[in-house]
Amino acid sequence: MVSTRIKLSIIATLAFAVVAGSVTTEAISKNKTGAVVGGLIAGAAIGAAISSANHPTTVYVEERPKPNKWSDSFSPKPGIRCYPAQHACYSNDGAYNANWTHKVYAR
Amino acid sequence: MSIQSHIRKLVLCLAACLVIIAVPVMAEDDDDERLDDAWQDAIGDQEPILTDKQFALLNNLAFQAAVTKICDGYTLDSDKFAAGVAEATSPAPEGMSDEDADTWKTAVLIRFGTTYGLLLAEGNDETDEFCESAKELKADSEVPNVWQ
Repeated sequence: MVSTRIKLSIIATLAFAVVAGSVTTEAISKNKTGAVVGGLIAGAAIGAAISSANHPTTVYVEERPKPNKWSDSFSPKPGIRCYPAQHACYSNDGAYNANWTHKVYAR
Repeated sequence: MSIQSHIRKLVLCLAACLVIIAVPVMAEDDDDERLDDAWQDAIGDQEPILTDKQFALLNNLAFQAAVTKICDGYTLDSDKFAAGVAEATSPAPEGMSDEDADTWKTAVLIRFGTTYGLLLAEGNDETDEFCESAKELKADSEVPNVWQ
């Protein structure tokens, strides 16, 4: 499953592509206007980086999520998923699968 | 670039975003009717009162008991069921006092009842799939069942 962070990254990339595509097109059509705007933005970014370099900032690191053994699962064969914490297997249609529960855990 | 072109690009971007977000959610809903949260709440923090094999045997007994309530044509064989319960709970943990043994038996019964209830809920939610699974169990000569 695609995580929320990856989704947001993809969305941000798509949005950037839309905006960047527009700016580039307009910069070409208006000759040097785009280059001037780009230079201003780059200058502002570099200036901000230099000015902030001398001021230590607090970096907050997101706590690593604790492993959830309940969500662990594996597939002994296509169409079957087993959940060790439950000692049970399910078919892809969502039904409890007694055959594979027995074969995986009770033999 | 015209305003219409900007709007068209924005709409396409939003549509792509919607697909990226919606498809995994739809897939989850389609392929998994297991009551994940209920299972976790009910037995997620239970102590290992049985071995992995015993838990699995007890799960299958609870499943077969639930099948008799939901699917037509299934009846428990009381002798087979009693033997199945004995197998699923033997051997008991060693070194228990009489009081501990009573507590352990109670915990096993509660676990069985909880599993039975959750499987009843799952089976009544998706009856066709649940009963098809029962049919597969009955047809599998390698896996024992406790039905008549």
